[in-house]
Amino acid sequence: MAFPHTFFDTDLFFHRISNDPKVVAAAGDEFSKTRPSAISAFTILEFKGAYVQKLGLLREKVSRSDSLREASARTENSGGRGVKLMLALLLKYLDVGGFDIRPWEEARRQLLVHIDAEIYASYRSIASSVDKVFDDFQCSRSQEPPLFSNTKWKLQISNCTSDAIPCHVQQFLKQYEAELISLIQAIDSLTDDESSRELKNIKDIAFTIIHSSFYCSSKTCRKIGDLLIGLQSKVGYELLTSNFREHDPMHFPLKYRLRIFPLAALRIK
Amino acid sequence: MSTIENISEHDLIMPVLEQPVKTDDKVVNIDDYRSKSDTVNANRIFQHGAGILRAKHNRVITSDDVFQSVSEASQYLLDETFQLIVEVNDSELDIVERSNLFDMWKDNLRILSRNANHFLVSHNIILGSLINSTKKKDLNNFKVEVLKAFADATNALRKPRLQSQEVEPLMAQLSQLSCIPSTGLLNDGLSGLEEMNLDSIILKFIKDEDAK
Repeated sequence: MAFPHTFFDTDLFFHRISNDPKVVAAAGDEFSKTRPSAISAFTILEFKGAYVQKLGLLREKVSRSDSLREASARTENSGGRGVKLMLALLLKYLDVGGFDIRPWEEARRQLLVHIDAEIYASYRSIASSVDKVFDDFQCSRSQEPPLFSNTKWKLQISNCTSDAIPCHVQQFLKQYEAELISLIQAIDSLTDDESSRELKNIKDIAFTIIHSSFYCSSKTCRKIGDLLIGLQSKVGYELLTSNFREHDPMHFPLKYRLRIFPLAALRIK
Repeated sequence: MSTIENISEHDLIMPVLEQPVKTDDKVVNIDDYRSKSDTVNANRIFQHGAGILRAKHNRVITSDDVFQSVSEASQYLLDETFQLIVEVNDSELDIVERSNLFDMWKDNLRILSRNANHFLVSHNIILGSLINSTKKKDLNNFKVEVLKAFADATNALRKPRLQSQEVEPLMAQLSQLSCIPSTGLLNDGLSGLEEMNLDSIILKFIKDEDAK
């Protein structure tokens, strides 16, 4: 351990904006009381991909629609269930103070005001919520913030296809070869019920790293976010996460300290 | 090992994609606004704004009426909204009066969110953040510095074209002084029942929309 920081896994940021008030309060407590705190730069990328981009999609669908019915259909048809539920949650949020869906022009403006504010504030809150951002593998994509022009956002996360991208993820992973050998054995020992698709991806990629055939391209790194965040947390005191399934089998072979955020116990039944 | 001590907020936050149209910067900051020659102008705006407010209070004028002539009415409402938060900051007024003005300012923010049809993303960011920061809160929840930050942000909304690089310092000031809560639109881990409830919210509003 080189630093005394507690690393927050990406899921803690999601819990902080969850719909469950007990989960929100407990996550908020962790952010305010756990010091010093840190994240991997990769968390910024994960948050952008999992939340901010969906907000951008919701914005696009709402702004192009001539009615709520149309917005609802558009979000479900091309944004998926998650984006439609975002629309519903936004309506619920606005309805607390009384929300009039008519005329749609006005309602749409009001929706867009809140979506724009949420895109900006949620992304901004990531780095400003912790004391330090560690970026040992120099993730270029994590340093690309949402951009906005007068009327639209640019929220894409480009694929990493060029050697010109100064990302050192390959070197970063290579330095943990011994730990990765132990990790493969640990994952192999799991039953099917204990394992997961991400753990299998991690094992496959760990195998290629050990045998020097690993070449990280496109979105490879995004399949092994838990591995990258777990390894990054080794420089700190511990990793705080609710993701027991992936991190419990990994933390011992990779030699990082794990603290579990008790999500299941907190959730309203 | 390299660390980013500062993937700083400044680096993370939103450079400009395009240069907005340059406009006359007739917007003043709160201190200037309250001084010398602006007094006459402030009174004029406030008197007009008070008229709109009284009408609004009596439910004589609807937001549609206010925005018959969009740019002019929007500008009046924006000026009035700014004047309200300026008055909230006036320590010579009694607390009840300031509290009422604060509530009126919040009402105006909501009306702006529905009616200011010239607003750009940059306006939306500031306006939405003001609304979220003050939701379910009253004057007592905020210190003087926060109220002044609200005034600065409200003042910025008066610019017809608000440049994206102007947003960051205002948002930094707001978030430093006052928590800007998330709208919380994440929906992972919802139960089937919760999802059904959310579906019914959309259906309810669609029904309202169809009931013309």
